[in-house]
Amino acid sequence: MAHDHPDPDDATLVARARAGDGEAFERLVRRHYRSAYLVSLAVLGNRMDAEDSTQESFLRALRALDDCRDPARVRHWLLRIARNTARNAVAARRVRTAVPLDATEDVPDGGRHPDHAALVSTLGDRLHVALATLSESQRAVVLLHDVQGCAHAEIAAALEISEVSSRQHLFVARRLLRQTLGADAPGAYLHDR
Amino acid sequence: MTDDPVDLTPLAPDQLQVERATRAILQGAQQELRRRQLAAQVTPTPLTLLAAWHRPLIAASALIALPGVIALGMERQRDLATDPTVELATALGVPVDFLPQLLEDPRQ
Repeated sequence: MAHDHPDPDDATLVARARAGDGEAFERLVRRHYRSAYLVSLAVLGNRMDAEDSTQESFLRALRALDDCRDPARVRHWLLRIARNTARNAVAARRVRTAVPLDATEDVPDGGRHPDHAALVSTLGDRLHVALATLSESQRAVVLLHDVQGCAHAEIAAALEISEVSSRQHLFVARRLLRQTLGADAPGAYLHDR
Repeated sequence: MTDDPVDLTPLAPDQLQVERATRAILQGAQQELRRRQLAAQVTPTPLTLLAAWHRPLIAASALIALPGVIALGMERQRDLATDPTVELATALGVPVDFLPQLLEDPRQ
């Protein structure tokens, strides 16, 4: 029985969520939240807006779940919804007011050592500034690849670009980040994460 | 120029953020989930099952038939717009002006 399976696949979870199964929907959210958040962050550039937009995108996805033509690849579908929702938020934000892309905010430490939280926050701020120098596609590719560990094929499908473009975006993004961050490019700080 | 990755993990959402967001999403999803549960409980009739199964076919058929229906409608409009007096005169092979006399005294 599908409900007893410890880790049902996406297609099974989508079928159950379509029937109103809250547990299945929750599993989908937990499984894909990070990727959807990173896509939203790539578009919006700051954490608070990305969080709001990601939440909104999952609610939109649930309402439109019957339109998901390939439930086995629901991840790509969710990421496209996340990107479109974030782009809509950008358009709305442009109408309201201009908010800098590199707006900084605190990062919860998740119960780690206070010094670690402060360090992460500082690093996060610098990384936000560095990310703001990239294009939206470059940000999305580098975040999905280097943070979430997505393959280029998966990124290409989710962002509706070619795999070659994905590789190019990653190469350019890494180079620009290195240039912006210089010798301060993080790496050694976070080995305990 | 190197393309070694920069450690971007400080930008990733931590577990606390995921938990908080998941709770918020589920809270916002309750109404839609209930609607879906109710819809799933409704026992479909054989006709609705058939309609659901053939929905793409029905849609395609409607699209294919649409030009024909429009053409028929236009033909009908044209028929209605035609003057019946002219049509009758043409059918009888007489001038239109002669038709009133013919109708008064068909023996002519």
